[in-house]
Amino acid sequence: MKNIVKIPVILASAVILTGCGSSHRLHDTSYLRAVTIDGMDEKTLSFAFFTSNDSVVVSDGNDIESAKRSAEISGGKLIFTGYTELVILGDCNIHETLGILLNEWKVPPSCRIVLGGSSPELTEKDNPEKLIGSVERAIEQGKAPECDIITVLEQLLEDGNAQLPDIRTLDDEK
Amino acid sequence: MAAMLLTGDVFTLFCLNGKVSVITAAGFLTAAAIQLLLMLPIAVMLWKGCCTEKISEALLLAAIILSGAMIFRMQWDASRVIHIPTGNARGIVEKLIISGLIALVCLYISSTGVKALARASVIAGAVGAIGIAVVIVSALFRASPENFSRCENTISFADEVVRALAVSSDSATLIVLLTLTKAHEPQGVFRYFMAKSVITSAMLLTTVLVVGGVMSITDFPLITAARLSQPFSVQRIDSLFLMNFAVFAVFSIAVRSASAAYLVGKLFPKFSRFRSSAVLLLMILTALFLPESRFYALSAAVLPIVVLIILALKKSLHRKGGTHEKHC
Amino acid sequence: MSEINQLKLPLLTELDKNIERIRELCGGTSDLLVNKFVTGGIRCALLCCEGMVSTSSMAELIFRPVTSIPQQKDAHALFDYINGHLLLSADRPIASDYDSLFRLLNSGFALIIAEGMSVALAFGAQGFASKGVSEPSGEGNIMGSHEGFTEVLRSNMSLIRRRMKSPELVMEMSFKGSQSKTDICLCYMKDRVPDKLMERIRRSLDRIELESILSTGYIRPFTEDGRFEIFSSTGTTERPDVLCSKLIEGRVAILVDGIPFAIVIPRLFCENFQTLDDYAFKPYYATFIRWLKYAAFIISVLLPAVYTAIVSHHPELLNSTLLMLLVESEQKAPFSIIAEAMGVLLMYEIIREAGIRLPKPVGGAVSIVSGLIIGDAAVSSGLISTPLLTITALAVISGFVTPELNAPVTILRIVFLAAGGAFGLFGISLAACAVLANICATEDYGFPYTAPLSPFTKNGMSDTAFRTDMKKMQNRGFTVEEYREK
Repeated sequence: MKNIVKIPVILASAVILTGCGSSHRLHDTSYLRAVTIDGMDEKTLSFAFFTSNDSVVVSDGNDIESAKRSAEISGGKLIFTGYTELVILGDCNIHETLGILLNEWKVPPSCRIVLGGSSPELTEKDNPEKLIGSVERAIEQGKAPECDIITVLEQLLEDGNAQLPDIRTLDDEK
Repeated sequence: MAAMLLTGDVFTLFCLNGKVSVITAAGFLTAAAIQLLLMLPIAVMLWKGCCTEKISEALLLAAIILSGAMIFRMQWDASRVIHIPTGNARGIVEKLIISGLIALVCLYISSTGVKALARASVIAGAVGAIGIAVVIVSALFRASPENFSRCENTISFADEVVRALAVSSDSATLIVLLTLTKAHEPQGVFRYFMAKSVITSAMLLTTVLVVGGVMSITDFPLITAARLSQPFSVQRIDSLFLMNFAVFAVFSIAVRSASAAYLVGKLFPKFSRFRSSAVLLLMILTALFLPESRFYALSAAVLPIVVLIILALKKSLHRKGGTHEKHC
Repeated sequence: MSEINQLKLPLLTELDKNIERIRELCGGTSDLLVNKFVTGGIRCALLCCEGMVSTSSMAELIFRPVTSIPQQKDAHALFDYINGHLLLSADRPIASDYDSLFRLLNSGFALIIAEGMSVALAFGAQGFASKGVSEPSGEGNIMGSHEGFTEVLRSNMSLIRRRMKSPELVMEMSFKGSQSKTDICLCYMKDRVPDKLMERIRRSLDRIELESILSTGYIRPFTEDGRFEIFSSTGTTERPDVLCSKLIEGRVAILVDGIPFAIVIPRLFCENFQTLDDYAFKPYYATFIRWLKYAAFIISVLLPAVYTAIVSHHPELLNSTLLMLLVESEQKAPFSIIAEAMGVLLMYEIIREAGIRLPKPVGGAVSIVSGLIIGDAAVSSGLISTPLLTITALAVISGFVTPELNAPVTILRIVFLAAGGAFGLFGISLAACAVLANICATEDYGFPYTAPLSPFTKNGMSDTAFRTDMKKMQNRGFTVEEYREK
């Protein structure tokens, strides 16, 4: 191999091997577990994470993406949404919101979608694990309909509306 | 030969943009049948010792360059939804990094020769097929027969056939491989198209079953179908799809670059070095600067028809002149 | 006249001048023993190399008979008498020039030169110190033979001959190395190996112009293609039973004096996962072990890279519980995951190399240093995370399953790690494509390295994908010639 090729290859290998090119660390990211989304024009989101070190973050923005970016600044870490287990929707355009969650946020297909009114403190009052557990148990017991994001989107696209459980009244639902 | 071509066909399916329905599957099957009808006479003529003339080689080269450029473009589009780590690069820099890496690997693979490429394609194809089968089977956990009816057939059957011909036909590479690999028995061509039809139908129908309900909000249905593969509630395997994507991208481009480099060697015998590099560069530049239009994609499908006509004309001229066919 | 030309000259007929020439050519070396005597009325001298001959054999088989020869007319008659009437040794070459004289002398032969003769009679009376037949150091097995090759070529030839009593087994002797004159032996079954293949192998060996042959690595590059190959298309084995199984399949072996390994041509990739033990167990268990080896190979090469790629770029592949575990463990680590992984891998290679090279009495210290200090202290202090150490250990242990592939696996592991750390699973896929192309391009003497997988041979799967019952295999009449591409 000629020197003109050898030198850049050696330099590139050295950079790669020292890890200089890779500065991302696992603990530099917060892993989203549950989120509430509220607001038609001005969005208010509150983010709850897996690790107890990351406290609940509430942020506002013109749209979901800007609210998320604002939350990253206030939380001090990137937010990874690929593990989101629960989305609590308030007063918002459900179809548009779920489309963004599926295509931009790439939430897992098993992510549960529930209604929760307009209160963002839900994720602060009850820890996300308890909320998610409640939804799962309600679905198992037949008190809530199947509400993963794909099922909800399919219903919305077919009929224009979807059956969503309300997290405030899970005990009462038949 | 079939493995080399099928990797390209599967890759173009991965990158299929737009809605998919049962009509799409029918369109792709029809396009495959049309291609088979076009290619069988060419295969028979080549088998009987017909040679390609300079003009047909030039047309084939142009078709392969266009086809390769399309592959690069489809891969750039698909990388919007598949996360390919390229650090903080965005926009055209990101595209060039991804293309550059793929081109480097393709360059090396081309340098090992067609035999090695064929053997590697078989192994990569087999492993990829297992990967696709795993993704399909796990995606089927979410399959719903109602999705067949949920998919709106907004595109007509004729449009689907045109789309299939534009996206999935690489007859030019097939013709070159028929001469290169000497596996030009017509039965081989037939078997290839059968395999292509089966794989295409399986992938498209599975996509409809899985993604049918949300088809209107997805840009890349097959990629979305892979993302929805979550057989276990706490596990996702869509990133494994990225490995299949990368491997098929590399082999589909490598096959085209090897075929194009061979043609460059025949057309310009003095151009002995850097043929593969030149061809890959040309493909990338074509992909960057060619306006997006189905015309260019269709021309890749139409050119082989022209080659067929040239071969047929040459054969009839030789018969009239009483000369024997020379064997290549 | 140069020394090389002098060595090619025939021996001097005058005994004293001959002895003087011999001493001059070998620089008056102290281990050359020259004993002058008279037998049959002719002045003779017995030459041997101290420490190379067996004094008891010489005394019994050579001294007594040779010194009792009746009066002879001249030196020619003396040599005729010795050749025709005395059976002094089974191996009796003749040295006609100084080159062959020294070669035989240094191979442990005793030579007789006589006044008036320009040749020397040599008698095999080797008695040099050598290691006996022992268990091979690598290539361990449970159910098969525990004999391994030794450093003596002729012992190795006997080990093979004992197992393959067929007259089809041919052993062609020659020597290579302009200074070392190392004996090498080409072994093959003449009814299974085509003449053209043998010619090509002989031509490859004729290209060797080295001064000495001290290891298989001196010969193997000449028998392989010139292009860069990650995996070697020739193999080695330390076991005579394994070599016999290869010879039956129509392969060619090269034995080298002084090296307890035989070179086997050709070698296929799938053979790295086959052992003779596979044929001692039941087919279902042998098949299970075979697939375990394939999996171990993949784990060994890819596990650190996949771990790094997933943790750095594709965390969604992990389930949430595992991810949180990793986040907690990586919290204290000061380096990036790729730097950590690279450091651990390189540290393991250093420890492994130290374990091979250092003297046995110090061996225990390596275990203590590597296990306690590096393993325990480094993890406790947070320099290295426990999951990464576990992953690296798993990869390393998996590599021990196929020790012949240790060298390429080590390098590939590092290459894949770099690719995975930089570009995630995408980088690993690209690197895998390049490696696959290299493996598929490996082809020597017309045998594709990836046979019988690609080009696919259905019959070949019976001993690759699984291990068929021996009763079904016995009628196959398989030779490796089936895989050659025409």
